[in-house]
Amino acid sequence: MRFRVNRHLRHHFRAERDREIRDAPTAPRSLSPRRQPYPPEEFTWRDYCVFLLRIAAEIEHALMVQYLFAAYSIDGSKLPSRERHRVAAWRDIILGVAREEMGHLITVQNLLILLGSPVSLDREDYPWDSEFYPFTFHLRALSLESLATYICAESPPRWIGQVASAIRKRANAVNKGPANRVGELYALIGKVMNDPDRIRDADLQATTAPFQASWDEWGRGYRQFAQSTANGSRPNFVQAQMIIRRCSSRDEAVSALAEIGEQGEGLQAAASGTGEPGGSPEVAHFRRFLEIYRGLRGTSKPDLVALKIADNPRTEHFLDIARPVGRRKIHSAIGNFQAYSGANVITHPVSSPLAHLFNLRYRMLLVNLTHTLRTPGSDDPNQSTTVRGALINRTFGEMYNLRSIAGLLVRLPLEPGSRSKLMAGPPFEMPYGLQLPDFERDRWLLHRDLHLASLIAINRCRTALEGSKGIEIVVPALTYLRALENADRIALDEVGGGLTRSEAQSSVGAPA
Amino acid sequence: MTIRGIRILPPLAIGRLGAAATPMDNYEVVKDQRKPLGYRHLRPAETFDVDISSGRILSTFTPSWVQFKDGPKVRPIAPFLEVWAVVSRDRMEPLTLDVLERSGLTPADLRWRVHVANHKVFRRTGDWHDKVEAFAPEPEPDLRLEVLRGKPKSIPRNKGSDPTFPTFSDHKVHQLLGRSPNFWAGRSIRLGSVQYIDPTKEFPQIRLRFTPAGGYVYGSSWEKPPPGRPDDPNLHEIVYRGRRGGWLGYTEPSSVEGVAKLTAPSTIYAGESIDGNATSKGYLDDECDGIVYAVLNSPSGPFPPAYARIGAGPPAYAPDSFPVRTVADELEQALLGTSVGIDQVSAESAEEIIRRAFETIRLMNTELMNGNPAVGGLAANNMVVQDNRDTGRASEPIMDPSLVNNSSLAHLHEAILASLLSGTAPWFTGVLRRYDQIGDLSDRGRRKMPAFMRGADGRYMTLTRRQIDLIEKVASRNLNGS
Repeated sequence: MRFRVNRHLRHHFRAERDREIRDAPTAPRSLSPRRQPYPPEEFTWRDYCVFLLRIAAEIEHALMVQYLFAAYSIDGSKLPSRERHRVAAWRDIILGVAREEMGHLITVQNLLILLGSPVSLDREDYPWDSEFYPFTFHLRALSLESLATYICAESPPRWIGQVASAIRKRANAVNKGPANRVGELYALIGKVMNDPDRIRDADLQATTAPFQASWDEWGRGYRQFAQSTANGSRPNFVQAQMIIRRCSSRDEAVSALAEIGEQGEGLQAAASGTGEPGGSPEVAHFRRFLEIYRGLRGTSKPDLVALKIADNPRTEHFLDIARPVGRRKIHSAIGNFQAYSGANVITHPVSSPLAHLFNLRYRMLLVNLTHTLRTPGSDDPNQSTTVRGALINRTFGEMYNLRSIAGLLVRLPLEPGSRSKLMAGPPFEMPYGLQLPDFERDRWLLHRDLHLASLIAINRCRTALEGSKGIEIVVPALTYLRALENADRIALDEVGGGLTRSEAQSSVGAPA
Repeated sequence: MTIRGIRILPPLAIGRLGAAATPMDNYEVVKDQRKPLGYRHLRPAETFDVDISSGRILSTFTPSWVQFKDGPKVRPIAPFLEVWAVVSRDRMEPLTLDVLERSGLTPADLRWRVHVANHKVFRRTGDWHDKVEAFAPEPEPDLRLEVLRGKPKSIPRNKGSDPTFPTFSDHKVHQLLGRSPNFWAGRSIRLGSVQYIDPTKEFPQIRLRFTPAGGYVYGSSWEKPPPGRPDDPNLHEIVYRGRRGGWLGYTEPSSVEGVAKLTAPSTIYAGESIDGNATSKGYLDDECDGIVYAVLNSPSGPFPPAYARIGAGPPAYAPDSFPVRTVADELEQALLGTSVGIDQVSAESAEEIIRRAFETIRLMNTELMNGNPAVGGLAANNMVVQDNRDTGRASEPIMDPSLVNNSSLAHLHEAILASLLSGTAPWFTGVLRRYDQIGDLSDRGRRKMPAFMRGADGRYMTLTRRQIDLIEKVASRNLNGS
């Protein structure tokens, strides 16, 4: 799949340069009566915008996962007590940024829906990169290296100086190549979206609003994003500010894109003179990461801030990847496969089934989210559409489950025996597919299958834990698994309700 | 061992109303280890079998099951108050026959007096004649009147042995008959009873049992009520003399001084709308609270009296669940402060708070309380309507209506609870409502947790500062729970 995307991306920057109106051939008259900018090869502008938004979605998804991994790795219990609070605050800041990336991801989905496109929650398993992606997808514990890549990804365009050079150098070294800015992509999407000659009014489908996510649904009592103001106050920037915009017009779409850019880079705050490039810390991810970077450098023992978690933990070694960063041949009974030398396979008998359970719950999260965005909300105040609400709550529930299982995995060894001191960590492996069935009943059948699969996975985990020796977290892990099993059984009853409802719909010939 | 003083434990005991003849058996509320997200289990526990006529404990038994009703009647929860002997600066022992004997004393040297009241009507009318008070034993009428008038000079305080207040040391049942100057002659509200348990060799400890009232509603009338049951099916008996007191037909004051004394929220009494005013039907109930005094005489004079507080509330109709914020939380905060000591911070204590939130949701009509129009939420007795009435805020649901389906919310809280059980530190402190945010009626402010509920100030409920401090301290430990 990557090649299919990359073949368009490869010539993107060159093509964009050449695509000035005066140089472009005349567009087909069917596009517009006026002279048009010429769209990239094989695209119309609307389709190209969808293509870019899908890339944006993938980037937001990837960033969110990597930030979560880094946050989960933070420990700090071995640091002097005076430094622990600061480290705990870093953890909350990074989790807040990850939460905001989720907001970006959801807003991008809204824009896709606005353009009449299917939602896109897919992302490539690592490792791969391209010109457009900020840095090679790589799950890393928190370190100066990982922070350097995050800072570069979120950096504003004219970030220069000694600090910038040093951080770029560090990021490029760990990334084995330059780390790109996310803002470039949003600037391009904004440019395309804001141009009525490229995206026509008719391309924007205001009637899709009920399908789009709203802050009311997803905000959860967190702050709604507001542009930075220079009022001298410095709010607690640990708490996330969620950008979740429903868009039904061009202005709203462009404004949402600008806000996402602002939250990443803080361009407006910088331009308004409220601070140095990167804006105020409570707004820009760039500034927040930079502050943590400086703090980490000043920590007495930076190595003790994060647990020793393996990079890129995986449940299997065999990969089918587009552009492996490193590769070697693996000979197995079922054939020869390319294997990524940067991956670490979780082979410990307790960690491995828990890692599979983590992947399964990750899939459940993505399925719930996709299903939510395919289920309309209601504009009628006298109707309480609870199916969509239930799916949203299920999505949040899976976020909490991922957090719990990740919390166990970072305390479990990667491998059996004492060969390695590395901990396992959450693998975040993508499911084989994210396509949602066309019919509502079949969607609920998928939910049912996932809960049943979870019960099997829980049983495997429990068996492994009960037979284990020397594992410190056996008691909380078993307690959690009992609770998760309990929750799955309750959820199966609920899913049964969903199946009944959809069968009632089917009986009157109303497929979803 | 020398007795240096006495104490009553527990210092606060809350009974529950019930009209059945046999009080409730003991039970423990335990978590289901096999279903961590399930309902708590009620496990029968060892219970005293008290012979009312003799006042003696005959035996103990553990019932096979927990039974809350005898036929249609609810079994009251009747707590025991135990007397303990202070034997050194830091040690107490149960006061028993043996301990008394070694000090040359008998159970008759331990004397009790009990004073309970129901001031609900007085709270509104401000007329001391509306106080409903009960004593065991009954004092002289003049002394009773002094107590009602609230004249502290002549009321003996902390002087349980004062001869002006009678005491008892027998083992009969002493009825707590609540009387009021504004009651019809000879009428009273039974606020419960107390009995000094006769200690025996098998059960030698000194105890008093408080049995709350039946949970009846009493009424008022303009004319002298005829004998027999009142016509109003809600009423057990008519006691209040409408023409003498102001409770029957009472309306809330509108003067500046009167408004300052209103309860928050106001008008929460049984009434009917007359000329647009919520007009009292003159109902009273048999809940009460008060003080139990114990005095131990000795050859060298009485020890300073010990006292404990008792009260009676309604039955627990969801005994396997606990509210997210309880009187116990208030007391703990009042006693221990708003900050939790680091040695008391445990994941289990934070988990308990979330479990109670989860259990509270399970009992709520969340769609109605959210103000969902589809279920009449914009006209219900909920915070949405309260916000509108009190402040003129636009009447609109608190959360997005699609999110508050009860089973869906319960599912979400199950996931939170399960997560805490894994040792994951709480991550949601940012969405907890703080004590100074109870009046934040912005969208975000109204969506803070705990949701939908009214606190004691009439605005949105918040956890106690101590509860929040506990959750924050658990959260500030490292992410991985070590």
